[in-house]
Amino acid sequence: MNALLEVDDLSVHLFTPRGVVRAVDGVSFRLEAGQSLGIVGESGCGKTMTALALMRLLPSPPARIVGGHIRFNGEDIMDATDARLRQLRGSAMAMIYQDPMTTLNPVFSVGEQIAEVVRLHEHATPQAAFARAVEALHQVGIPEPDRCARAYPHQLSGGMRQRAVIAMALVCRPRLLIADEPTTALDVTIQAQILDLMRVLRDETGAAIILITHDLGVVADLVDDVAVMYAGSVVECAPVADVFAAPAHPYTQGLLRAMPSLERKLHRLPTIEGTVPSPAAMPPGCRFHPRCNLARTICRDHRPPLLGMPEHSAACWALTEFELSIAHVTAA
Amino acid sequence: MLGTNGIRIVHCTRYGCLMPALLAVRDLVKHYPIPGGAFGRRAARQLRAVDGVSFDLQPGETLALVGESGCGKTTTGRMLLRLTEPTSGRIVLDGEDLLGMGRTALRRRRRELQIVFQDPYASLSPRKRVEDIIAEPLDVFRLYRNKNERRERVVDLLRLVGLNAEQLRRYPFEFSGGQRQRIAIARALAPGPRLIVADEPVSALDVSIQSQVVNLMQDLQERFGIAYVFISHDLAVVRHIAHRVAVMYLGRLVELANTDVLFDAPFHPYTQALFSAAPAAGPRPRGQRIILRGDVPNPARIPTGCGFHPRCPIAAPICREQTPVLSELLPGRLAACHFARPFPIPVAADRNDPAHRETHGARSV
Repeated sequence: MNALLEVDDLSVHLFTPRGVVRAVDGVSFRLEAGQSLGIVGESGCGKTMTALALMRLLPSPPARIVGGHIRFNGEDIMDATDARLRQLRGSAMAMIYQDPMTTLNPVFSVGEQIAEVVRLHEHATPQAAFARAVEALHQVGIPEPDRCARAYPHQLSGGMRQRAVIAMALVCRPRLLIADEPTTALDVTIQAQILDLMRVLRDETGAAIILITHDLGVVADLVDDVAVMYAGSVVECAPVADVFAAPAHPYTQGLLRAMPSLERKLHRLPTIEGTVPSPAAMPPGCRFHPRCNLARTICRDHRPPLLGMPEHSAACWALTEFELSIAHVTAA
Repeated sequence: MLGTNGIRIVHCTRYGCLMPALLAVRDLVKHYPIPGGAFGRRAARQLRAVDGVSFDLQPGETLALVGESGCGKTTTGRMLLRLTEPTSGRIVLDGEDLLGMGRTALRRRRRELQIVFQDPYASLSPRKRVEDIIAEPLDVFRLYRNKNERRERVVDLLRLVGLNAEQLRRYPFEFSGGQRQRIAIARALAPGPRLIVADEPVSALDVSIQSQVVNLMQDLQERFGIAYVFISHDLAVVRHIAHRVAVMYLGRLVELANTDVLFDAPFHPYTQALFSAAPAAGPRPRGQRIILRGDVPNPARIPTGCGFHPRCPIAAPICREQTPVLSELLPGRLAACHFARPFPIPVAADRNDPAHRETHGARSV
């Protein structure tokens, strides 16, 4: 079956005056139509760079895709012309960013900005485009969408702005929606509203979603599969329930243990010792080995590939396929 | 009982205090005038950032202030140190009211009150070496006799927070976020405080680093008996670190209780919704979340009666008219809701209710 999105061995390097930084280093995943994938990791793990690369929106210089393939709907995104990319962005694939205030232009009304997307992609008249904008605002649950369409971004609350941004992303019914930390800037009760909205819209529009976040709790609510990234590469890839029930990679395990829980209280929080390595000075071999208590000689010398089953894989030498399959059975 | 300067301190169980408190806060208020009129001279309205907050804090205790942005938790924290001047109220530290104090007296007491800010990238001067950053409180309060002693104190403090002594000649930019927050904590510890206000101290940090800093704060509390006012929107961290939790909404406390009993069964509908909205560490069955309608209201336009009534799933006519007072429903458990009872009305999270969906969710086009 043809996947909607295929990413194969994607590498992004940043060419800075102080040296080359390997921000994304051999990332592969695939996404079927209507599926949702969460990319989880801490700051600097390369998750945002991966997302920007998918849209070919990397800030260049300093960033450049140095290897790999991205195929969207069977079409090679890496070779696409600028004109073709402009066609795709906003209509077939759309992106939501963390901070709705910087996404929206402060000098145009929300409706005009959404209508612009429609005019560019569908050659609608200004009136028809504006009507579509109002409809899109209605769809994302904004009360009084007519009034909101004529409002400027500063007149809306953070939650309403993020709804407007989602309306803008969805107005042309994209097949792929990339959401980069869409709820990080919002309050908890508003975050719950936005996640609920994204769930409803996913079911209604059938758009595939890539949700990028540092918060494993947010992922749990919205996606089918999770890819955990560490220091530029994917270290574990599995269905969301398996990641929580039977994490295979020591980093994922550590991350889950370090998360304080609402249900239970421990005397001390387990930690992952040390810090995320600086992208300019990556350790050789497995990049997690200096912080890993399972590290062996092989981990220092060779980087592990993703091992295990196609549905649950992890990049760790400490895992044999047997252990992974056990983990999978336990999770199910 | 009279405090040292004649302020009467009320000892009661109302604010969960059985022993003499380290800190007693009563009816703390901060109103900001909103300029109105032709030239913005007349204060047309008041923005009620903090609107009558009272609580007690025991020595060595952690009280968490939780709530969403604009609920007044940071303003409350800053007022405890008089970094923001309260409009009215009382802040009694060890029997002495901080609000009546002159500058010199206040400065003397500030040795016992320190603060750690959210963003360790903004709270440390980029032009100072770590040694001078940590020694600044020592300089201010003249807590050393000579340069050697100053250096020794700084090295001790660095070790206490898990950094090493070789790092003291470095500048903040040479440290990661977690290490910077350790430096900020070392600076707060330097004058030997009895209370540290920690304003979202781990919110800017990654999960794996966050737990290191939380553990450090707990270790320091066990060792030195420091009390914390821990301001946070992260309920999971609060559950872990706090002894008691005060939930704020629109400048008021809506619930105050011991952490465990509060998380097991919150009384106030807002607390129930807030807890159920918090992302959980694992998939949860659908339909278990209470999703509140509407936005957090603007503190410049607080609704009449109970500030929460426009979003409250169980609001009744009385809620529009009367502001509920924070009252003790069980020993040590306070809530401000007309309907909060020891067995409160559980707020339903029925997602299939069509009226409920209509108001907040999306409709198909």
